Amino acid sequence: MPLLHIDHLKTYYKTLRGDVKAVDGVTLDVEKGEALGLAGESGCGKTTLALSVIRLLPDNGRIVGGSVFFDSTDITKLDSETYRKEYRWKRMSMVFQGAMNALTPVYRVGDQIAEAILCHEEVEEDEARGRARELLGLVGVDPERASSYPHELSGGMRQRVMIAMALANNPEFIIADEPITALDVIVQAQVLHVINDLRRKLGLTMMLITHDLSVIAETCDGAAIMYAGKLVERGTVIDIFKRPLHPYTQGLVGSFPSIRGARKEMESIPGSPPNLLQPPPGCRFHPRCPHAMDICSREEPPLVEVEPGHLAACWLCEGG
Amino acid sequence: MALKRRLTDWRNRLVSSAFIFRHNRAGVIGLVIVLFFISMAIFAPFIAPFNPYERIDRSLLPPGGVYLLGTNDMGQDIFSELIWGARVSLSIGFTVALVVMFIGTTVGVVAGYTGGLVDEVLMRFADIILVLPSIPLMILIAAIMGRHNFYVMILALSVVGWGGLARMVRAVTLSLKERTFVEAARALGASGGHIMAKHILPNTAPLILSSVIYQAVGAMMAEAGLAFLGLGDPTAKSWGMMLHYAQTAGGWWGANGNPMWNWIIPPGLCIALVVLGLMLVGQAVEEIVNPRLRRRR
Amino acid sequence: MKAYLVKRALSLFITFLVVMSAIFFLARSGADPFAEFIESDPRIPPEAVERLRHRFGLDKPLWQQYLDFMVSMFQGEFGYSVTFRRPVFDVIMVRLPWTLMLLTTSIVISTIGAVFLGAYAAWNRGKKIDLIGTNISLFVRALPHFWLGMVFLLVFGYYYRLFPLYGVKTSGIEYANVFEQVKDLLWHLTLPLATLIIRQIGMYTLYMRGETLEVLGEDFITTAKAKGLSDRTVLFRHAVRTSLLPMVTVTALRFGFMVNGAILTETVFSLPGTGRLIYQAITSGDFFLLQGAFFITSITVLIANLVADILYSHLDPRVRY
Ligand SMILES: Nc1ncnc2c1ncn2[C@@H]1O[C@H](COP(=O)(O)OP(=O)(O)OP(=O)(O)O)[C@@H](O)[C@H]1O
Ligand SMILES: [Mg+2]
Repeated sequence: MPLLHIDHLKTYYKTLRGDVKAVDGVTLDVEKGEALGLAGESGCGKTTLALSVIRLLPDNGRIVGGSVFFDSTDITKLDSETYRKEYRWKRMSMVFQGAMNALTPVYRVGDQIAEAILCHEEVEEDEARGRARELLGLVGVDPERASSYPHELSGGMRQRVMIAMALANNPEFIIADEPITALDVIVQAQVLHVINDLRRKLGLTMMLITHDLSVIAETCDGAAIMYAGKLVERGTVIDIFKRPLHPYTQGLVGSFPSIRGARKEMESIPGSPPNLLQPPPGCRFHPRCPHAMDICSREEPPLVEVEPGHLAACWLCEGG
Repeated sequence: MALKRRLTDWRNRLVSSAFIFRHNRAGVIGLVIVLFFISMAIFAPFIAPFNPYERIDRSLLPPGGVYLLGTNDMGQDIFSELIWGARVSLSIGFTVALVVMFIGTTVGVVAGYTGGLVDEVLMRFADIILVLPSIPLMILIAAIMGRHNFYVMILALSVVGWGGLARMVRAVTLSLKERTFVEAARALGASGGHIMAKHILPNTAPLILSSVIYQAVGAMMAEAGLAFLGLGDPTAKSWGMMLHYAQTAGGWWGANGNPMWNWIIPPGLCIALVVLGLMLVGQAVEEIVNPRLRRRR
Repeated sequence: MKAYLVKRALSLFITFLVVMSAIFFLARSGADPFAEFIESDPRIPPEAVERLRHRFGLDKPLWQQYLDFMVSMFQGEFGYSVTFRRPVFDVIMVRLPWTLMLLTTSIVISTIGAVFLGAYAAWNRGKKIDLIGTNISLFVRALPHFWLGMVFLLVFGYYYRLFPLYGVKTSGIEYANVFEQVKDLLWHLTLPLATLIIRQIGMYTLYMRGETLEVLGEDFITTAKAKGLSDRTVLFRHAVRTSLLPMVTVTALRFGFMVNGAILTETVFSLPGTGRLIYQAITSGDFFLLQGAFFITSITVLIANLVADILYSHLDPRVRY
């Protein structure tokens, strides 16, 4: 059994103009110890997927179907108090997208990390503070900075503090949602290095969400590609980069020069992603797909295992 | 051509604003309340059964019969006073709101656009006005000007009212100043006055319009307070002044030692209702002008 | 932070000087300050009036008077009240405690009340309790201070006879002990305080609700929830604590407004406070009293602002300029 097993998960946002089907039947496994990269165009539902797992959806977001198994327990069925006390931050945690404003401005960062520790463990305040300092050291921030306020830290430092906070309760699983997007290039490399390093040292299971395929190539073991609320392909990094099966993935990888090459945003596929209020019938990619067939606009392709560990949802793969 | 396009543009905006407004139930209720009192003010001579400035019967009569709310210490009909009071209270409220709008906008735009020493001095004055208690200041102004006058009231109320608006308009001006269209106009050699009047002012208009309603609220409240302290114009009785007389000339003891609720309750209730109506309308307008607020509900 | 406070204190001091000068000249731009006094009491011989004029320096040139005025104000010498026939300082000092008590008590209680109610409403945004609460505060905001007091007086003073009708103590009473005295005082101040507190809670609850809603939408609230903190901890330790900052600023700004409330409330309930004194001073043309009362009021308001600034800089670590 994988550590995280997402099973036909559907998460919708209620809006005045109808339901936004941000995650619409996604099935995805993350093995223990794996670092999975999750990529896809902006607005395809990556953050929504992550927030559904960590159960922090905004007020108008609802899981309307499917389940999420963490260590064989369906965490969508747990009552929120049990989940809050036993799972979130204790066994899995998350580094949020755009974390520039993710620290409360009026408290010292060390205390904010210590707060997370005190919330889940019966330890003395001093001990929690001490551990907060250690964690800061671990992510490459001077432990003396524990007594700084958020506004006194640079963006990169704040992001590292967020990573330290995510590690505060020794979780088994971490979701990092675009942890480096908002940083400038040099700091990006440093933070990425910290993440890589920690993963090896602590044996973390990780889901890394990013726009940037080269980050996945450098950091992850597995990769998953989302398109318009659906998972379109899943495999190892080698599978995805060397033998992409889905035309969307092919487009992405094709527009991405080489694994060692310069980083590039995914943008070179003609057309734009569909409106998630009323996604197109059949395969959601068919209006933009160079290989679209009749069936593509009628029926939705299932996610099939084309070769061991390499799955894709495309009628092209279905045939052979 | 340009004018026509501008007009249709305005009309479209107005229509869609009206649409949003109609869907704000509280705003509609507020508007109904305000319109009710405005018609009361306009048609006072036809609604009021008596002349409120004339003795028509014995003093301090209880409510009922001919005199719906009884009579006051001067033997005047309280109900008629109430109806006519709408005129004074509303006209002072709206006039002051307009004057304040004029002063506040001018000071705000000039301070924001000119900057430097002018800004510093103007804003220091605005701060003083904002920080100090307004009633003593108004009493002082009224006392110096000779206090029994409608226009002195308006002057006093306006002098203490412009600070907040000026600060707000200044903030908006500062941000507009950096925008490209203003810079472009400056690059083309437009004068400061021209830029302020033609480029900055129109863009602060929605904000100012929505704040004018709150200015009227503030003015009516302040007028009521001043009049209650006895500083109103006795030839133009407002609701606040009715309460002044109720407080000092018999409302508490009446004809037989009992307080007269019929004199004390109605004027205050009228003030509260108009103010409530205006605030509801103000909120609705604010939501149209500032969509971010819609989220707050 | 020190530099910030020094800067603020300096700016408040300048404000204060401007205000005092304005009062000095405004008060003298009216009639001869002693004219009304003479008119109202023809028995006073002209020589006596002249003596008084001389004694208070009113025969000196204006600029001299101005300098003397500024200097003596800071020495606590406010001159002589012609209506009370006592030094202004004494008149004010007898009354100041009442006003200060009224103001501070109502500010403290209403701020605490508004913070809790506003935060609670924000947390329950859109639910029934929020709608009811917001509408009530909106309505309370629409009530004129003094009229609310009159209604209280009418209902609880006259009709139900639960509270006294005026003043701060039962007349002619000998208190057996301090406890009795405090009880009598509280009994007298219940209605005036209730008026001020209810009105202010109405005003601040909506403000606090708005600020809290804004903060609740921030990323750091998500972080706090994510850490596994309980709802109450998220709301109070993170959201409310942050919304307190604008709340402090507004409370300072509104201090002047509360002085208005005090003047009106003191009038309705016939309380012997400074607010009422300003009114009396102006209507009777007692301009030494006027200057003194203004001096004290301005000082109080400005000190309150400074206190708010200090509090703010302690609450907000970002204040460092
Ligand atoms: N609170 C919300 N209410 C309504 N729609 C929402 C809400 N949050 C997100 N959405 C919509 O859901 C879809 C998925 O959003 P999500 O944030 O999960 O995308 P994403 O893949 O993380 O994008 P990005 O790469 O830009 O972070 C988008 O179309 C977005 O507009
Ligand atoms: Mg995202």
